[in-house]
Amino acid sequence: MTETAETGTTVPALSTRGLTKTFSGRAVLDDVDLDVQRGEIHALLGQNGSGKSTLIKCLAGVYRPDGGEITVGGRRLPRAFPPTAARRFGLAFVHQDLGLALDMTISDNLGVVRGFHRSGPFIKRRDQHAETRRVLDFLGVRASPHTLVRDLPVTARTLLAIGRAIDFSGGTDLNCLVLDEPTAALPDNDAHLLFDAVRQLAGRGVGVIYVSHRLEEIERLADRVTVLRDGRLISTREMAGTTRRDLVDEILGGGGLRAAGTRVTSTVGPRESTPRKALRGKGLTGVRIQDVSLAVEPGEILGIAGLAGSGRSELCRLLFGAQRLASGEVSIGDATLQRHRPAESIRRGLAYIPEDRRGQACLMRMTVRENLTLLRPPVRRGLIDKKRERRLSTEAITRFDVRPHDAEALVSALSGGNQQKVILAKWFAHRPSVIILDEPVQGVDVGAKAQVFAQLRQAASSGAAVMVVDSDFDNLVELCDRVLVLRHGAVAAEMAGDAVTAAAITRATFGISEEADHVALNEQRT
Amino acid sequence: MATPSDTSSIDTADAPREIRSRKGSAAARGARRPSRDAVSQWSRFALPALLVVIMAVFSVVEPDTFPTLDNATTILTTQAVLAVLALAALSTLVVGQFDLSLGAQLGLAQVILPGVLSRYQVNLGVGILIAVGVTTLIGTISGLLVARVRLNSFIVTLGIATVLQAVVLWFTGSQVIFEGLPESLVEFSTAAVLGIPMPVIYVAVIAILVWLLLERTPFGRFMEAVGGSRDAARLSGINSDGITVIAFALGGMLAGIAGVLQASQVGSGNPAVGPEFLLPAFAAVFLGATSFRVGRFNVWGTLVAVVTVAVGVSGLNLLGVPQWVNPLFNGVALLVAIIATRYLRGTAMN
Repeated sequence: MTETAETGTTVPALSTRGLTKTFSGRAVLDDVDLDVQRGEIHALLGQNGSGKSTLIKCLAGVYRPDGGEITVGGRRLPRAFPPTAARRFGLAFVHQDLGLALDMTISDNLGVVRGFHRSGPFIKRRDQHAETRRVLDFLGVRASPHTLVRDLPVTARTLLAIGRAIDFSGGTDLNCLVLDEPTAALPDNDAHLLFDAVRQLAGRGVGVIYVSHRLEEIERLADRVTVLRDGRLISTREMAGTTRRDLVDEILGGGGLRAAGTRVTSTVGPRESTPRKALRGKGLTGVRIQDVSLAVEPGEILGIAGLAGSGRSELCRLLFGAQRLASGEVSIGDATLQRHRPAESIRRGLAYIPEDRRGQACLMRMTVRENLTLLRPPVRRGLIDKKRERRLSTEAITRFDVRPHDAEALVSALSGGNQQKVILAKWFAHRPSVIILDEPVQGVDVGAKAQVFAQLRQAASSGAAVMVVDSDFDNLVELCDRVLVLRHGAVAAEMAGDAVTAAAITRATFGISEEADHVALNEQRT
Repeated sequence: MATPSDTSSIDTADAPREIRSRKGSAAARGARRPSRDAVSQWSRFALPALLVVIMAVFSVVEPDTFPTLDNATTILTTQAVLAVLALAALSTLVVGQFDLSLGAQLGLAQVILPGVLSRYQVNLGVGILIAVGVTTLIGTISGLLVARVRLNSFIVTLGIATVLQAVVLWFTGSQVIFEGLPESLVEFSTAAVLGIPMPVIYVAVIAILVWLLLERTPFGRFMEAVGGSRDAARLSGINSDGITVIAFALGGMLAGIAGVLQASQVGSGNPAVGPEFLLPAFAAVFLGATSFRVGRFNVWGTLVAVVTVAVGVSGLNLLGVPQWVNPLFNGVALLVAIIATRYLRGTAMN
């Protein structure tokens, strides 16, 4: 993967020259020259709205660039081509939405994309399965080709989506693979499985473009890194000798982080304080959760760590009443929740922000205004008070800095970070006493992440009890006063204060240490 | 928007990407067009504009018969039943569910009313309450099956519709009910206030109530939220199941009212009537979602759609075109509207 002298002589896997794309007069992509060498893992960094997605969509044939050219493996692409043609040029994409058919088997999912082994019109099942098995072995996924994709853990699904893109028969015809935040939904401790697969691919001479918000991943994986800002290519550099600080500075373009931070704190200020109530769970048992007891005190931020499948999300759902409690009880303040339903929890001052932002946390096809006021639309004489609703939503948009500043925009049109701000604004408007968040900064850029964290700290300092699940342990270290580690649906460890370090959390999630790599995948399957 | 796709078990994981990529390509083409906002502002009024154009054209072509008060009254009166049934279809579509039994419910109500009037000599008010009560109950049952038993609404209501057809045949003995009916039945729709026929007034009142409910009350907002995502709504403390049941009950009630109007306008109960209203009602709701609040099922769009299609058909009939032109006009209007919306907005209507 260390391409040095020979790269000059070989044809790059992918290069763009002067690539430009404007939307209604605004340059979203401005004269971008990008080179990705064969066998290279090339990270692409930038805030939401920096032009990363636009660049990828231009490569994929989704957008037609206004100017410039794209060359793949020495072959210049036509100005416009349909997304289906990208594969023919040797370009493959793994998007955040993996695009797998959940109700079909692994084998069929591969066949649909890469073509089935056939004899006449009929599928040769044995050959098809043999090939599927080869792909699964290559990826390090232990599953039968007959397994439904629905039954696979997220990590294995992501690997499968990559596997679909590669052709194993004969030499590779793949020039360049684009991974768009492949680890966003992955538990941190499974990420290395993905990295192994990506490195193997690069070893076969494929150029890999790797988009991620997680800097430590890029440090571990990338050979070179390109930073985009405001649609312009700011720099491309060797990863060796580059520090995280350098990257953050370039991503934000000088003082951006500080500006974002101060904006939040100054506007929120020493605000109304929240009714102080602790969240307590006693002997909680339900799907994937065994006899967990915990307490989150007012003013505290408690982190929950664990592998995917350790019961992190289920714990949140049990506490909130979104999932049936087999035994145990939940109390908020002095009140024990009787009929444990979301509606009752909300009345008691609980807020829950689920992991699945598109499907569960917000209503994509409704406007920002409607989402913001959904919990309790302002009412006057039985009817919605439109004027007050508009005022409330405009205030929330300003306070949480939701871009664009448009209450009538559909939530589906916003970036992930801004969707998350809308969700926070929606819940915070009711000054919840207890806030449960499942992966609050997943797929959110550095600037927005800082804003989200600042909001959470602010909430805690004004008396809210906050509980955060995050598979990025660095986030937990940055944010939390105390961390519980879940394993197999039970609390495996607890650490507080200075003892909260990424290394300590990692060790605790695995119980022992090594050899856990494949254990991770296996235990999720059960 | 409440989408039919929500009711299917098809994996929605790549649907958003699909939509996004289409949006992208539309945006890419948008460079040569006026801005997207302007286009969508304009497209909101495409359907009402089409209505005006159709009226203007027929007024020129048929100056003696088309632009008359008589003709206008006739069109509006004859569309009252369809309009109310379309509002019934709207109320379940908003929560993301189909009720395919609405036509059969209409059919049942329009035989129950004359049936109880002639057999048991009840007065009209009681008869109407019975007819509407029965369909409301049927809607509630469908709603419970969908929300509590978690069955697919498409299949459940298909079954209910078939059962209702059997009930209609049993209740009427396959005979049209027309004897021994009180005059009040027909007067219920032939009366007029200030020259405005009662059916038009009924539709107007019902439409305003449904509009208030859907767009101006928290309950209506919650219905739309359930239609957007049942899970997301539940996690926001909304009683998704209860709202689904009520939406079905409301649909049943409106279908019953449509049946009452039908019986009263015709002055009899015909066991064969009912199901043929179903598809035009759904078509009107989908067509209506292309205007006013584009991409959302809405009351005024639905009513304009009903009237637009009726005016078109009426004008064509006055011209003496052959029979097959009518369904052609209906179908083409629906297809053109949803295709135009797709390209103007760059998003799918589903």
